[in-house]
Amino acid sequence: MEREINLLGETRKKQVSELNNLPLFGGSIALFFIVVFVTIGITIYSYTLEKQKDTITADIAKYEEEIASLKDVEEKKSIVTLKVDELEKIYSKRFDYVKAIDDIQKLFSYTLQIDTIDLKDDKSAVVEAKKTGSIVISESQALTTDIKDLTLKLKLGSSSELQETVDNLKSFLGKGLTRADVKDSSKLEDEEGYEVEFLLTFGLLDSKTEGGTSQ
Amino acid sequence: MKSSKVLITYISRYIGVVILVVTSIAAVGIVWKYIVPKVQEVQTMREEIETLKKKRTDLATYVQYLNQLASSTLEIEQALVNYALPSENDVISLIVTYEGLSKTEGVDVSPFSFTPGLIRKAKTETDTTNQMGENGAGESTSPEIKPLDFTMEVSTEKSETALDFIQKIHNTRRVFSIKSLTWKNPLVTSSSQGTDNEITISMNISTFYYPKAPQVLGSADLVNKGKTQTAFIDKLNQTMIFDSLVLDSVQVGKQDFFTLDDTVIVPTKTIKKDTEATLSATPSAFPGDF
Repeated sequence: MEREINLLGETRKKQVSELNNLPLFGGSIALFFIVVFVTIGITIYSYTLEKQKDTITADIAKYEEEIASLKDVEEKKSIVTLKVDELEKIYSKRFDYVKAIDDIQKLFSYTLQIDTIDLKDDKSAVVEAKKTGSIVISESQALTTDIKDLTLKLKLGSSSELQETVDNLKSFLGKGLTRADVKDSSKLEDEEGYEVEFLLTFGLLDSKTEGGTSQ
Repeated sequence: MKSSKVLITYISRYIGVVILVVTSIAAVGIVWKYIVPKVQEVQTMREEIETLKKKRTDLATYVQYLNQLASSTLEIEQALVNYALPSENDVISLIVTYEGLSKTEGVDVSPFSFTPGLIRKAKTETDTTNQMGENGAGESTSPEIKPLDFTMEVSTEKSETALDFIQKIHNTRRVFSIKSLTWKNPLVTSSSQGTDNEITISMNISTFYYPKAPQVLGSADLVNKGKTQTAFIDKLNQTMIFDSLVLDSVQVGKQDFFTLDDTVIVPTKTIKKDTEATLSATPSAFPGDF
């Protein structure tokens, strides 16, 4: 009797395990379809991108063809552009001589009778002048002028006048004049006195530039 | 019979697991062998497409710009810029500009002197400009630019006229750049300005030409620079040329050869001082908007 009961029990187990295969089948089918859908999807997407790429490549080829037909325009414009570049450089490097001449007048507040002005595009100036009285240097003009180095050649009557001029220039140190050096001095041949060359530097006095007047 | 029955029982018990395992292995295989490379391919392709799209946009802008140039301002721009900076040693425009300047009222300008090598062309140009470079001319400009140096002596009675003249030199279409200037006697105190004393100005001037072989710039450079340079080109258009002042055409002889009338036209060359600025490129002929 017990055996029969056991046999009944086995039959029930078998039925249960056959029923459990259904979700596994379902899972397998779902996995299959997922893989198939993803594969189809990605293939379609890839194909669409390929088509898009082809269209863009064709457009680019069309534009490049058009550019090739406009090669002369391209070359002409390239030359114009390069030339304008060079012209802009030339224009930007130009020194404003008119302003420089005007600056020299204003720099000495019209206290010098200027005979000759030599200007170079490196913004240096050589001025030959006669003193008409005490030299006055305009601080505001010294700070705004483009001239950074100025050689001032003065004819002076005596050594005391030279000392007086040096003292005169010293008084403007730090007030637009950063340096005033006596570059050269020589005795005049045809008349009494000296020709003295002062090297004047204008701008703001900074720690690197020691202001001073030397002989 | 019994063993086959057991086998069937086992198979029927584990068939679901077997199919799931096989499907999973197949799925992994497909993912590994097909989907992953395809995804990578798609990513690469998308990046490529983005790059190509940008390139297409740039090219479209470039084509549009070139077409616009071809149909509008390029010829005028080219003429303007070539006059200012010729591709070869254009001595004619140099002389015309010099002569035009010398016709300024109230100033006496020394005749234009040909320095040796100034009008030399083609093969010998390089040698000439190298010599000039050694002499210090054109050191501040780029190596492609070739300078032509000459001197100009000017005398005038009024300092205002002299200053205006110096300003004028820097406002000619053929680019003149003053390298150095000597102003002699008498730039004196304001009280004595405008006296009869003669002012003499000696100048070392450079003009330039650009013999570089044609080269095509990149499209972005061309469009960007082309757009930013319009203001400068406009400014260049305002500069002075003297062609009609110096090279004014003169009508001589009969106009109609088939008439019996013996009247001939007498040369009537007139110099129009007031039209020397912007003679050939009037604002109407040269639109400011490029």
